[in-house]
Amino acid sequence: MVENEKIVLKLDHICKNFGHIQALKDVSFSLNKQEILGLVGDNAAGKSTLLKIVAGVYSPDEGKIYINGEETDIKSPLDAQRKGIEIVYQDFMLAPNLDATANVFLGREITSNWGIYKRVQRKKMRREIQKTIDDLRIQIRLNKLVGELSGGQRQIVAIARALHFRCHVMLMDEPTAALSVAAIKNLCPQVKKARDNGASIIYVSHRLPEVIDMCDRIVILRGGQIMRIVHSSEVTIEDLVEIMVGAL
Amino acid sequence: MDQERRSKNILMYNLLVFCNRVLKFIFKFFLKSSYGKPVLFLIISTVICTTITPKFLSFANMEAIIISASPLMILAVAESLVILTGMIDLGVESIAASTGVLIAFLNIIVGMHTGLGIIITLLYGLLVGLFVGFLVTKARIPSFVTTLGTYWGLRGVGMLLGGGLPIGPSSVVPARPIGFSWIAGYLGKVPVMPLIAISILLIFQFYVSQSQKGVHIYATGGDEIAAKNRGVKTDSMKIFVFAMSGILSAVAGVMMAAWLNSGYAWSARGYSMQAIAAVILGGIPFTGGYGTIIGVGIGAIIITMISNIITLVGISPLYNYIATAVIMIIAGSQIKKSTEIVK
Repeated sequence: MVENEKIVLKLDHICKNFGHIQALKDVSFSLNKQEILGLVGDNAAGKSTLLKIVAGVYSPDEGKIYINGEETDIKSPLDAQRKGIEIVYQDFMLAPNLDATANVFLGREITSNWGIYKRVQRKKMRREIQKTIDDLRIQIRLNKLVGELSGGQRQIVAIARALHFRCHVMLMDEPTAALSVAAIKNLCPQVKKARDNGASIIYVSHRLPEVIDMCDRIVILRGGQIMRIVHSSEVTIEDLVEIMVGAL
Repeated sequence: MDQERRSKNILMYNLLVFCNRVLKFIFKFFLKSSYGKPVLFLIISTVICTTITPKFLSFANMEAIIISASPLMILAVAESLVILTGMIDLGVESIAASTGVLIAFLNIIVGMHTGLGIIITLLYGLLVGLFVGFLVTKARIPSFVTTLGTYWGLRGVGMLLGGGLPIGPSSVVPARPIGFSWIAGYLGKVPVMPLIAISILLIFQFYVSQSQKGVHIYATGGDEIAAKNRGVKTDSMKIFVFAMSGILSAVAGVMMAAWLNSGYAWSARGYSMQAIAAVILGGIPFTGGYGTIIGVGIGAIIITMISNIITLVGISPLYNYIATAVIMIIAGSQIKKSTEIVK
C-alpha cells in the first residue's frame, strides 16, 4: 500500500539507442516513496536497459532523470550508489571468495587510517551489518564465504547490501531467476520488509504471478515503449500477457 | 564400587570428548583453513626428508635451507600478489637478474654509494612493474604475454649492461668489493637474508589481510566485475600489484647479487617457475582470490627443501625440476577448485 505518494524517482522521455536498434523510446514513469513498482515485458522489451540506465551503467541518449524532484545525471554505478540507488542483480554480483560482511562493505569499508595505510575494521562492520540482517529476520553466518552460501542466502546478502547503505531506490533485476522454490517463497516477505524499511523498489521479473503478488503498480513494456501502467489489484496474469504481446 | 565405576566412565567420556575436539581442530586446520595445507605439506616433506637422511634435520642444514630459500621466498611473495588478482608475472626472475647486474654495475664499475645504488635498483623494479601494469590495464595485453616479454627482454637488458659476463669485485682494477655484501652476512648470530625475507613475508601478510587494499586485491581476484561494480578500482589494483612485484623482485635481485658476490644476467634461472610453484604449494589458485602470503613462504621453503634433499642424497640436480613438478601437481590438485579460466 502506498501511503505517502511522494515521487522519489522520475524518468522523463527517456530514449536509448544501440546503433540502429532503438532499445527505449520515450519512456516516462515515476516511482513513489515506499512503492514496489513492477516492470514486465517480453524479451528485448527494454527492461534491463531501463534498469541499467537508472543504475548508471548506461547513459540515456535523450530524456531526464529526477531523484526526489531534482534533475540529475547518473554517470556510473558508483555515482548511482552515492545518489542512493542500489541494484540487486540476478547473479548477485558478489565476490564468492569474501564473506558476507566483506561483500556488503566492498568499496565502502570502515577503516581506521594510519597515514596512507587504511586498516579494515572487521568487527565494527560485522556488528553494523548484523543489525540489518536481524531486521530482515534471517539467519546468515556473516563470516562464511559467500561462495559457500545458498542462492537464497546470497540474495539476502545482496538485499542487505542495498538496504544497509540506506538506498532510496532499490532495483531488483530478475531476483528469483537463480533461486530455488523455497528461496523464492522466502524472498517476497524480505522485499516487502525492505519496502517497509524505507526503500522504493523497481522489481523486474518474468514471473507474472509474483509480480502481481509483490507489486503495487506494474509498468508494461513492449518494443522499448511503455504500453500501460496498471495497478496490480486491477489486472490479471492474462491481461498482462495480452498487453505484453500486443493483443490488448 | 559403583561410585568408582561411574567416575571412570565420566573420565572416559571427557577424554573421548577431548579427543574428538582435538581431531576436529586438526581436521579443520589442515583441511579447511588457508594455512593448513601448506603446513601439512611442510610436515610431510620434513618427515620424508628426515626419513631419507637424518642429516636433513641438523641445525646447519636447516640454516642452509632457510638462507637459500630467502630470495625465492621474496620472489614468491611478489608472484603471489599478482596471482591473487588472477594474473601472472613470468618476469620476476628477469627483473631479479637484471637488478643484480644493475646494482653490481653501479656499485663496482661506477663506484656509486651502496645506499643510492639500492634506491636506484628499487626504482628500476618499480618502473618495470608500473610499465607492465599499464600495458596490462590500459593496452589490455594479457599479463601472460606482457610478462613473457619482460622475461626475455630484461635478461637482454642485464646482458647488455654486463656485456654477457658477471660483474664482480675483479671487474675493475684495482678490485673493489661490493658494498652490500653485509646482506649475505650475519647480524650477530642471525643470517640477514632470512631476516629480510621473513620480514617481507610478515609485512605483506599483514597488509593483504588487514588493509582495505588487501580486501580489494582479493575481490579483484574473486570476481573482478562484481568488485568493479562496487567501486573497487580494479585497474589500479592490478598496477599496484605489478609495481609491488617489480620492487620485491628487485630486492630479491640485490640479495642474490650479495649472495653470489656478483651480478650476472643469467642468475635466477628457473626462479619464475619456482615462485609460481611456491604460490601453488602455498594454497593460492591460478585464478586468484584465495590463499595467504605466509602459505606461499612455506611453499618456497618446501621447494628449497626438495633441492636440498636431492643434494644431500647425492642425486643429480637435474631431478630437481621433475621433483618440483610432481609436488606442484599434487599441491595444485588440492587447491580450491574454480571454473574460471586463467587470465
